[in-house]
Amino acid sequence: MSDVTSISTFTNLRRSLLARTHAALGARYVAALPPHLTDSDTPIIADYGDPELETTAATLAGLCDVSMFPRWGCKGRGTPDWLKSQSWRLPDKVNHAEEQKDGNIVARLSNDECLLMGDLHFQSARIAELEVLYQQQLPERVYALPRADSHACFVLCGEFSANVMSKICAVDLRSHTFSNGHVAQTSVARVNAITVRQDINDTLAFYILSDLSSSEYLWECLLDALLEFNGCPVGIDALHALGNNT
Amino acid sequence: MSNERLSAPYGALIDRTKAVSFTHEDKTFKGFKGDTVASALAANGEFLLSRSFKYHRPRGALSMAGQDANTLMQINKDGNALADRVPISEGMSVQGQNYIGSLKGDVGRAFGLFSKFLPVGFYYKAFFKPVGMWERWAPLFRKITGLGDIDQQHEPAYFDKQFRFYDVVVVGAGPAGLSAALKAAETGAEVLLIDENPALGGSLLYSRLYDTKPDEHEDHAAELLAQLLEKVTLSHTISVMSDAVCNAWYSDNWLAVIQAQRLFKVRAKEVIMCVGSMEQLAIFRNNDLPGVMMSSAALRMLKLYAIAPGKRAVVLTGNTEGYACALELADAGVEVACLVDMRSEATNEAMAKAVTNRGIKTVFKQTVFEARAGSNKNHLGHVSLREIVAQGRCADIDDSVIDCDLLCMAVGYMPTYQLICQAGGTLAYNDESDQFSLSNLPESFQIAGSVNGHWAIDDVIADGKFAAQTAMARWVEGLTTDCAPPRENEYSTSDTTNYTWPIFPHPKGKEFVDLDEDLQIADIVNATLDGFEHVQLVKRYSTCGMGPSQGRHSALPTARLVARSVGKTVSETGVTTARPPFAPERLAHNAGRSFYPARRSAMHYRHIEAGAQMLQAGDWYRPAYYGLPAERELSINAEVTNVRTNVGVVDVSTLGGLEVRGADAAEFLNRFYTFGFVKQPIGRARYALLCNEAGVVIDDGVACRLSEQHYYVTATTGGVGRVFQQMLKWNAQWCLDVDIANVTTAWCGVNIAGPNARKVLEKLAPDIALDQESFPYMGVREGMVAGIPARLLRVGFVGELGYEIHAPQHAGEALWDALLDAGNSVNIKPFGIEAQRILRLEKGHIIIGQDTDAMSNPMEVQMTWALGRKKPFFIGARTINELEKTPLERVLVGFCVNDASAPIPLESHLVLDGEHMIGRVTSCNFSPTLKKAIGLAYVPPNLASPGATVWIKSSGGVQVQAEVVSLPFYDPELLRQEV
Repeated sequence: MSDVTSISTFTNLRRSLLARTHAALGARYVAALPPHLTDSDTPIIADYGDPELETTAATLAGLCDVSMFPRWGCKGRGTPDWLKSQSWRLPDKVNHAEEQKDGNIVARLSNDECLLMGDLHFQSARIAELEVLYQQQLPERVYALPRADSHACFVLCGEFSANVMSKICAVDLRSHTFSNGHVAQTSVARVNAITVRQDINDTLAFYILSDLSSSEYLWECLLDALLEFNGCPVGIDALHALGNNT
Repeated sequence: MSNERLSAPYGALIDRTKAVSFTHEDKTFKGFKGDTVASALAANGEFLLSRSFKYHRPRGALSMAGQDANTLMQINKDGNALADRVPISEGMSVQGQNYIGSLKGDVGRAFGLFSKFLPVGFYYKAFFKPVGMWERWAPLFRKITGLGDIDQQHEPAYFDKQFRFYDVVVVGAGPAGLSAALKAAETGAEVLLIDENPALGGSLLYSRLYDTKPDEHEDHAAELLAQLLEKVTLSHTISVMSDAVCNAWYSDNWLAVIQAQRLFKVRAKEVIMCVGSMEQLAIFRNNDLPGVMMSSAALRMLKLYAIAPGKRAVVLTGNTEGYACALELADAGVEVACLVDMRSEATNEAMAKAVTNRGIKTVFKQTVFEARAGSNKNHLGHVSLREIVAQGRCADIDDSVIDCDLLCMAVGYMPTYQLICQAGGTLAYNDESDQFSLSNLPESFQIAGSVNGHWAIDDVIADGKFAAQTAMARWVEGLTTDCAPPRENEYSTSDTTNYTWPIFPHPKGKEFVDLDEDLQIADIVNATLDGFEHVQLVKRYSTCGMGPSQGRHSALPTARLVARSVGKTVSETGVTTARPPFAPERLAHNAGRSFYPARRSAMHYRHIEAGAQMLQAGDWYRPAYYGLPAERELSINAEVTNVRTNVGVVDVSTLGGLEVRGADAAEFLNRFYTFGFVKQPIGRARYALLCNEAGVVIDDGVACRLSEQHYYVTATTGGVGRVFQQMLKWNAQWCLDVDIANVTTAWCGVNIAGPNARKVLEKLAPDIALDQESFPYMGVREGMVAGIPARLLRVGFVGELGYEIHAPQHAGEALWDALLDAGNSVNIKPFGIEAQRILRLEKGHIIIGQDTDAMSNPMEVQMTWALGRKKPFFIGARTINELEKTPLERVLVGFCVNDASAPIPLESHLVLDGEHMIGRVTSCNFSPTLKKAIGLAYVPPNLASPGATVWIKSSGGVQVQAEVVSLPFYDPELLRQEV
């Protein structure tokens, strides 16, 4: 479990749009973050005060806000080659995602567009480094996309997470029809969303990315949908507990 | 009360160990768990449930399957609940509907005495004259008609929706459905089996398998059902939804399934409809009396609820089903006084023999001519029988009168065609055999069982399997096709065939064709005589089939009566269209858990904390103004004044943001917007006006050149989606080397405006030279503001020195806080979009969509200055060139109202020339700066010159004199913003 802190999330430069929602739920924050996150003054929720409950909920239907995690994207005809040249492994197919050795995830949204999501253990600084490198190189026909600010990102995990999604999304996301690593760019609760299935160990999990300005709305929709499965909001520690075997 | 029951195995659905108390008409009754309201009341000897819609006739259970409107009752706070569907629960309160006084002694039944004066379509003919009379009649009709009561203190319950996905969906879990599901599951397919009843089995739960072993008492149906259910239970790929109604079929096998408080949106690769058939009415006088019911209803009472539906029964039949019913009744201890076969002889010798062996008297070629109430005026007491002398005609005198309290009708079936016809299937009627068939089924859609014309149990099961095999053959390569279709005509269809003409007019009428609407034979015939010869017109004129049961029992007799009256066959006449929903559904099922997206900027809660009144603009929440609603005008005016005299900040995060990048970025914008962009210097912003190909103004913003190949373009809050879409479309067409990204949400925005704006910003952006020379009007810079990476645009929407600061969304609240903190010493204040609207109006800036409409071109809105005349092309250029050759019909002008006492015109108020409308107001507000009302309006060109007078029809019809003035209203020399 993380060392936790009750730091104010209302004085950072970068603040979660759900800070008040999380505060009302009793969020406690990870105290010791690596430099690439502390530099950007990013609060990450460790738990909501009941780690045991959250650990159980994460196996059923847990919802974790990872919007403040590193995230970046780029598009353009030069994108695949440039990312490969920086040692990122890209999925061969569009609408597929691939987890990197360091836990970062690359989702290929089109032939020439990729979304990069930071590892759940927030140890890798590769995305931050890549952003810096991009600014230095400005590679030809590679166009940066500020995914950390354009999209909220939630992880919905647990055996009932596909059932939860079936209440708000018309795409069949059941585990045997929507395999691990599949991506659906679709509508969730009537807002555009990128849904990436990326299991955490053997636990079914979806990364749901949607317009950041809709984050409070979508958070509420997801919470409403998961209640019937004994789900609840969970902090990052609950997700780590799912991945303890790795 | 008694709650008398037959002993087990009767009563498949009830749990005799669990008694349930409920009240009916304020008396307490007991039933068992599993009972419906109707069955529990019947067990207590209460067969009268409600009163009919028009004549307040007593009504009881007819189908015991939720297929008719007889059982509509007020159950707890739910009006129009189906008593033969709703299970009883402890403490439940049940009331009849449509009665005046008491249910049993309803004085409203007197309406039946006036039925002669209420012919079909009477409401189209009467009560409208003299003029105004309808207003007097309407309250009376509304009081005496209508169904249950609405609970006006209703507390909303939680209803929601869920998607489900299956390879195969089987609707109907009778023998065909169970067999189909099992066969499909053999291939590994994921199967959903849906049934509207609480238990699976369909007719196997209550019917007698007489075709194989008619004279045996053993329950072969139960044995077969147990075998099928065991296999279903053991299957790993069959999911079951009981108590679930498939209420609609939509394209691509999208099924609306309702279970409890959830609407399931089910997607299926293959659908197999095993929905069975609906038993039909015989039409004779008083065929609606409680005690008169379908033979299947009587069997349901016996088998499902262990209730003897009567003590002494008559069975009226036109096929072998009536024989089976008579045997079942006799087995259960009901005295069967007579089996009345309308045919000249029995077609199933074994069944006839079985009936004879049970000592049941059978008469042929006779019918029930009239049912009569007994001492209990609300229940059947006798039936009169008459000889059938011709189709639909009886002898003039009764052959006999039989005392009975139960009359079972077994005269035929109609397939449950509704969902199948919704899917495009065609219902056809064979005038020779009196049988229905369904054809023209869509792909990936099968039907099986009795709905497909198969009745013998072996055929039904074979049909279910064959349908599943046919469905799966499309998906499973090399599927073993070991199921053959059912045998054609091997089983005698006369056992279940529809009796040709079970309709017997009575001189005194009251032979009901449609029990929902109290429509008699004469009503249907008279509709055709009134000229409404098509069955669809008959429906609308007579309301036949428009009641709660949606013609389940009236469609066939109506078709027969219309056919005869207009000289057509039944097949030529057809039946009316069956539209969703199949069964009554709550509005809540459709409305429940709807999604209404809401967008909030990073500063949203700062606005709330500052006392903002929020309004929704599209999906976005925006601060309208800061202050109490009672002080709205004061607050807005103060905000305007503060910007004009000091400094204010407004959240402009909702503005669209688009990145246009690539070697051809300048060329792209040059073609896309009306202005020229190729020579736009880096670090400069330029106004960007967008027209469509028709030359209509559709959006505007500014294009900021950040580098040689990079533009950051803003668009209106509501228009950015369309602008982005248009950009993608044109980029695909032009094949330029450009990439376009919608980054609206990625960047928040704050506009700091007012004479002190620079003074405040200087504290936060020490690295950016903000003076006029270094950072002039329409300049663009990138740098750090309060430690946050930002893009700064010197634009002047509100007409003061101002900087629009765009920063990463997550830093929005920190930026807002920093600006307010830095401006604290000069008393900086936030302002809302209401103040912003006034400020921009004072500057004469238009808002696209408010001051423009679907026809507005740049000439009309006096923005030809924004047209790039020297460039070869921009979207809409050709049309605009042509439009410029024609005289203008209207011009958007500024106006002011000099009379301070005049009401301020509002948006869309009309500009008048006498009585003629010559224009309209698009924007108008009181200007705190100019101390008078100012606005924009479309007027004819001859009134567009400054000094012209126009008249505006304002609130309350007051005509307000306004003076056309030149724009802008405020600071025409641009001295305020370029400092």
